[in-house]
Amino acid sequence: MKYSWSFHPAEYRVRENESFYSEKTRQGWELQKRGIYLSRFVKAEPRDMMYRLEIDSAEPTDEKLAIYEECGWEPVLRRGIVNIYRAPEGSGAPELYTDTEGQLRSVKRLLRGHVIDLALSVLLLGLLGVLFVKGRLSPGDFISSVITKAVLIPELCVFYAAGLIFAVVSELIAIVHLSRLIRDIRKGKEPDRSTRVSKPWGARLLVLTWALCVAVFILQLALHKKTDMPTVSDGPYITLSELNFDGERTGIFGSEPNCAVRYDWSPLCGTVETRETVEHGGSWVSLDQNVYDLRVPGLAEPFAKGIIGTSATDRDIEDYDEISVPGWDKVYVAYMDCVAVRGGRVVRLYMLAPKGESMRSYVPEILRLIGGRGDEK
Amino acid sequence: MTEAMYYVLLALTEPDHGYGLMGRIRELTGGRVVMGPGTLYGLLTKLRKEGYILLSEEDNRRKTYLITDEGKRALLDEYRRLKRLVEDGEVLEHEI
Repeated sequence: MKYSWSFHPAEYRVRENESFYSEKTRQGWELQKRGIYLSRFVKAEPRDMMYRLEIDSAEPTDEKLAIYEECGWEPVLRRGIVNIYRAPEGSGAPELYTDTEGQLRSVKRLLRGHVIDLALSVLLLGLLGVLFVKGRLSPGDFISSVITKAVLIPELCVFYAAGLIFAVVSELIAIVHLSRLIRDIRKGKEPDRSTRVSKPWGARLLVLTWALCVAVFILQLALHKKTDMPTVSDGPYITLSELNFDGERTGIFGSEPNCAVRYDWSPLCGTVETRETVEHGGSWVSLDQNVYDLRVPGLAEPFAKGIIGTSATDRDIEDYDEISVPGWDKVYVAYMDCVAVRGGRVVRLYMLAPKGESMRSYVPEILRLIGGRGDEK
Repeated sequence: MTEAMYYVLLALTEPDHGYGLMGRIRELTGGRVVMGPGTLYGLLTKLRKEGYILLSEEDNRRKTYLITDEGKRALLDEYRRLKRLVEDGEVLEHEI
């Protein structure tokens, strides 16, 4: 058996779907299955058939099917609320609906669905907007998530927002289209069945975007790596021993040792994140390093500005001072948080300094040591 | 009462099933009224719910219907109303 798949017009383009399937049958491809975006066809002898879509949430009863069949309408398939029937062209099979009310029922059923979807999309978009404005998700969190994680982000909101905007626009187009159809039916205008089938670009774009997101996601999972922290640095990070903190590695507040290096890949950025804690003078010293190597160096500064003020302790941009460190373009330091830029590299340090000391005194040395380390890779 | 309802009730003064009904209505109207199967099925469901017709026989997938007394009354009322309309319009014959 020979199969083929094609994008079909969106459900609300009722007439276009009917012409689309007729054309396919004329070319020798018979409809076999209808999915969300794609229809499956099986190779057959070309023939002239007319197709009709009926939108009904109730499954057709045996009695209904018997009447349809006796009139020459063969049920092809049912998917969701879409029922598809066909009859040979010129067989004299009467139109399914000869009354205005019946013709309107299908269209109104579709319209109702689209209005509900539109309302839901607008509601969700509004909710996202409120979250954004209320600062639960600051623009900085947004930007850094998109750049470093692309699809593997905890705040998938950027994608939600884009998807929701896409949904709102397509629902509006559907509603306008259906309203026009209702107007035409009420006016008794003959349905235009010769409508040239327009290419469903929206669906193609959506499927392509999804495929791309899935591909990136799989790539990220494949390239994600987490290892115990080696004693000697083998990447663009330092170990605390390089700062002469030679105590034993441990977890913070004496919990299980938790010193690790994570590598992540995204289309815009390579990320290395480390976490290390060592004992020091009856207490602990801890250093988290996030090193972002942006593939577009021009993004480094806006990215750095975006992540300033998003640490657990330093939430206010006012807390950061700009200091100068040789070899680095920009360095901002707060109480426990530091963000620095060097070409396309952005480094974020989060340090619990020894008792009585501030991280600030360690920043120049750490940055000097990190420098362009790992660049040669 | 719509034209379609009127003819379905009229045709069901004798028991008939879906497809047969469509033929009868075409015959009754000299081919003027052709009813689609979707329209007809919708009407049968509606008329049954309103008690104007009843299921007189069921044979596998095929259901045979018959008009009820209530349906007959409604049909007769409609017939009389339409007749009045025609009689009232008779003046037109003399005018033209």
